[in-house]
Amino acid sequence: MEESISKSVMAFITITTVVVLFSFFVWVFPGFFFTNDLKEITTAKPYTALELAGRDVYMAEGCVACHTQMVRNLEPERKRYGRPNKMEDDVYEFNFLWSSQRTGPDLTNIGLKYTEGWHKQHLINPQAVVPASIMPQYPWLFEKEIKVSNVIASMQAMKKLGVPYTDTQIENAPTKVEGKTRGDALISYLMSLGVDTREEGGDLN
Amino acid sequence: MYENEEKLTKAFVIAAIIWGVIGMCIGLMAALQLYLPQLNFANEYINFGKIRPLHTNAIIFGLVCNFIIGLSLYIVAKTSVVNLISKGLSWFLFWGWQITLVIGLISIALGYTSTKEYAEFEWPIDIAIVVLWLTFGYIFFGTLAKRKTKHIFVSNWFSGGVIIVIGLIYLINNLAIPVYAFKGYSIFSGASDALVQWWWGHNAVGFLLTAGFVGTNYYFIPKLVNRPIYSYRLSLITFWGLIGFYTWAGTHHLLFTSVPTWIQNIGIVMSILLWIPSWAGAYNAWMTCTSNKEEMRKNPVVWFFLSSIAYYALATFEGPLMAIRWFNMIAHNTSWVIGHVHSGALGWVGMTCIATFYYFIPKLYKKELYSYGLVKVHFVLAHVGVLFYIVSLWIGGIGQGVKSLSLTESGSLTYSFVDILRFMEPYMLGRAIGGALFILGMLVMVYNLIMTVKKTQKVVIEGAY
Repeated sequence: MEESISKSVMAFITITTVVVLFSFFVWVFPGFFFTNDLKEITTAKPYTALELAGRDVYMAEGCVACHTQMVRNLEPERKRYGRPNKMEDDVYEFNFLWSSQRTGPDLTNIGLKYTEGWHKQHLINPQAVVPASIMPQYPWLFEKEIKVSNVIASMQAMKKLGVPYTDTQIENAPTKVEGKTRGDALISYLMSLGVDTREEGGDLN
Repeated sequence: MYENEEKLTKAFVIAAIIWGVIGMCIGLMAALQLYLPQLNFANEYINFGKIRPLHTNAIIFGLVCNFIIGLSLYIVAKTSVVNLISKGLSWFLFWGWQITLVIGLISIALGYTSTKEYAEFEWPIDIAIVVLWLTFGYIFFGTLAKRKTKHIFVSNWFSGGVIIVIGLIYLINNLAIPVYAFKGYSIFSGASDALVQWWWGHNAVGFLLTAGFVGTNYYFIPKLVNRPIYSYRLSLITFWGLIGFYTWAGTHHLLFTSVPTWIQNIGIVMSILLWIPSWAGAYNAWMTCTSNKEEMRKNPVVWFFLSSIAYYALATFEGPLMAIRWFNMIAHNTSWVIGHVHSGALGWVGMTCIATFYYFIPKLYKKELYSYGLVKVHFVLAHVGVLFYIVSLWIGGIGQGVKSLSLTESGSLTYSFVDILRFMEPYMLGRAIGGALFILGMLVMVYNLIMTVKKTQKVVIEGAY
């Protein structure tokens, strides 16, 4: 084998590709088939129009650079952040937002912890609420309005991907998001986190 | 015979240096923001959430990709004793890459991001990158196919492997449906998206940041010390080990998450196995590098290669360690990970790039290096910088992890999140100082190289390079 790959470009390309794809078929590919089973058992509900718009803001602002949405099933994590993620919780999360850095706290269940007013004050000036915070200030979020056509496009795309939105929900979307700022949408999204999947005794401490 | 190849390589190498310095400065900004949040300036385009992906993408697609594309095309032409198959395409690749990168970085600052780590670019940029990458593959393999030598030189194995693996995983991980211009959703959701993402994420490190440089080292280290590669057999072990195990290891980024445990365990086992090819490669490069004792004593460029190999050995020791559940429990999500990445990125990738620039740029311009004294100054700055950086994050990160998990005897949390933030503060500053020293060293290098190129007298270089 070594002889042929050091002498033939075609052999090199073929053998390397095959070897590399083993891992794909063993543990990446099966993942694509989890989805339908997970939909059966999930308690997660599709985001409302405003929440979905807020999720897009969360993505655009790069919140994932500092915030995880993955509570590991370890006692201290359960104590600090509430109920750990189950696989079916994230079945509608097109682009998963687990992140890999906890420069700020985990947000999986943050919707159970604060009020909308708290979030607004905190987003505009985090240091006013938590003096030691190193989070950037986001005042501009409350100056720009959401583009309604984008929200509809997002919902339609999600529907194509298998999120059970009804046509009426999509038609009604403009009335739900009209005149709302990006900050309002983001807060609405944050307030939804952890609500659907809430269980007895799974609240944040 | 190689005028075009030399011109092209000069362009790629210069682009790599420029993107490298820009990317590092953005990184320093990010580090300072984590110490002084006022430096976010409450600004929409340069707050940490934007700066962090700008930093990683400028370094990976700017510094690293320009370096790998430029040098692997040069090496493939030289070792195959032919010209690149297409002059036009190779320049299309160069300019296409720079323009795509500029548009990509601007789009991230404007908020168009997929949020997938090291794959933040949105679908139009992804399409451009795939087209350019295929062009790269076509030029590379096309040139290799018409080589005048019988065997494929070992450097080209690694470059070829990088082209195939990166092409495949970049494409699969970025499969998305367009929502509107510069916004798409991944076609995978939740756990399945996480698996695809870390299949890519870990291999971006394994191939772009590892195999590519292992490949160029097999060419440049023997040239620099004027000795053959220490062991052909070890290079085989390295190659097949990396190709065979690396793509399996990605799930060590998902330990204790909601993905099935058996998939997590594959990542642990394969990460530990990776130790073998990594250290085989490090040993081989080290023995090659030290085989010319006189050069080793007097030439600081050799020192840069030696320390890059040492950092490679360190980072590839730490990596498998952090994949073990017990360590991962503490390390996951903490700054320890950032420190680990930078012992690889600044120590291994950075020092390898620096050594290659010092050796190769004077050769390309047929000049003597302006000052070896300044290389020694750079050597000190770079090493103090890296050490400051990684030691800060070792202490800060491990402390962060341990404190986050710590429980009192009654079973409640010992530290609040704010306690942990306060603990981290000095180490965030230490990291920024380390990064700043490293950048200072880079500027010394840029000055040294500019003076080299501007020198009037040309020297006749004996033999091939």
